[in-house]
Amino acid sequence: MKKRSHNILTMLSATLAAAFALAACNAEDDMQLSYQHTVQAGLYSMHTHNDTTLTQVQIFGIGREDSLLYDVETIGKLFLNLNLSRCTTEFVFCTQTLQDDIFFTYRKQKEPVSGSSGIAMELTLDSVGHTTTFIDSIAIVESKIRYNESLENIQIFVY
Amino acid sequence: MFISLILTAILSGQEAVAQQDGTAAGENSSTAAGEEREARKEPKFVVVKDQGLSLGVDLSPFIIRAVKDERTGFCVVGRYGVKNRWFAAAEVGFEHIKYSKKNYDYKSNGSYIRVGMDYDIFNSEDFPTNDNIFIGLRYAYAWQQHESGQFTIVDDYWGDYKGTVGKTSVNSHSVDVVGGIRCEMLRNLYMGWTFRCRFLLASQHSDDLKPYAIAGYGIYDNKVCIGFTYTVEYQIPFNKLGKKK
Repeated sequence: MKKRSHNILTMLSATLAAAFALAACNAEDDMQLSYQHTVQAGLYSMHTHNDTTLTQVQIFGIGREDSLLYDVETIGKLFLNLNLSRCTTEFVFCTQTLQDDIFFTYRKQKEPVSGSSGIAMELTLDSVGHTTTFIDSIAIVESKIRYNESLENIQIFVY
Repeated sequence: MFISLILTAILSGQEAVAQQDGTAAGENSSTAAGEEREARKEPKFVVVKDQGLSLGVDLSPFIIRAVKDERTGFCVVGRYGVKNRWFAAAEVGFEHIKYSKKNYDYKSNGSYIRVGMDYDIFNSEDFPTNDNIFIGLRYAYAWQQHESGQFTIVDDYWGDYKGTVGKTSVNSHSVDVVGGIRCEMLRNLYMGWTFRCRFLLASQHSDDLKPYAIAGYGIYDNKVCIGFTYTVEYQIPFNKLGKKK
């Protein structure tokens, strides 16, 4: 009888421990989904391959009414929102008197992030095209654009 | 509890080592003395526990439900004593997940089956009981259907993206590494718990929607999940040996 009561106590204590463990394991973040479909781009000099900046830059998204995305004096890193309703998005870069276009093609996959945060869109860059007025080339360094990841996706090499 | 489990396992191991040392010493002695010792040698102590088919319920889905009301599940467990220390185990269950928030709905209905073996490492002369301390392995297969009735992704620049995803299927394979105990609380009535380290081997799903959680496994994005079961089982003692050598 003593052994049985010892067993019961043991199992009850194990149950309590398990309940706490489960509660801890199932804790979910409550983060807002923002900038989860943004391409991170860095500007680099094609001559030195070091990071660089552009001055007096304006960036517009094609297909949007009030399309001004950036209007800044100096910029070295860009965050470009891709259009989730489409599989291609195009931007116009203007620096003083020069202008170039960049266009992205990508795939989309919906992904439930957590119980409280909802559904995010995971994007995979297939290709990046551009005109060549002041942009020499663009390299995709990380094709996946995922929620809660902050990685540089493309490198833009400028003259 | 976990520490006590490990200590018991170590003590059992030490007993085995001590027995092996004794045997080795016997080999080194003279032949006559060896024969004499052989004649006197006591049989190796093995607790032969009650065997049979156990059927029961895993209560952990109810504990999870108490913590997170979005998840509902049920699981039945079965266990069969193949040999004195080896058990074949099977678990069958389902899990329903439903989130309904302002910006999205998500629903998943899935079932799973796990099969595998457990080895009882608890065999002590000091505690000749039917209790077990298990280590084991399970292979798990889960199939489920999931959908999203509506969702909105906020986009300040291009405008909010709204959509729906119809029902799609997900098939998943995983492996559980199991450790736990099982105690005979009343005659043939057992209660037990296991900790599990779950490894996702593969999951096939549509390109349109990734699963949030896999039935019987846990969060899909976690390639390794920690799990827990808490079972109540009744053992039908049709293969009762009930004697100790």
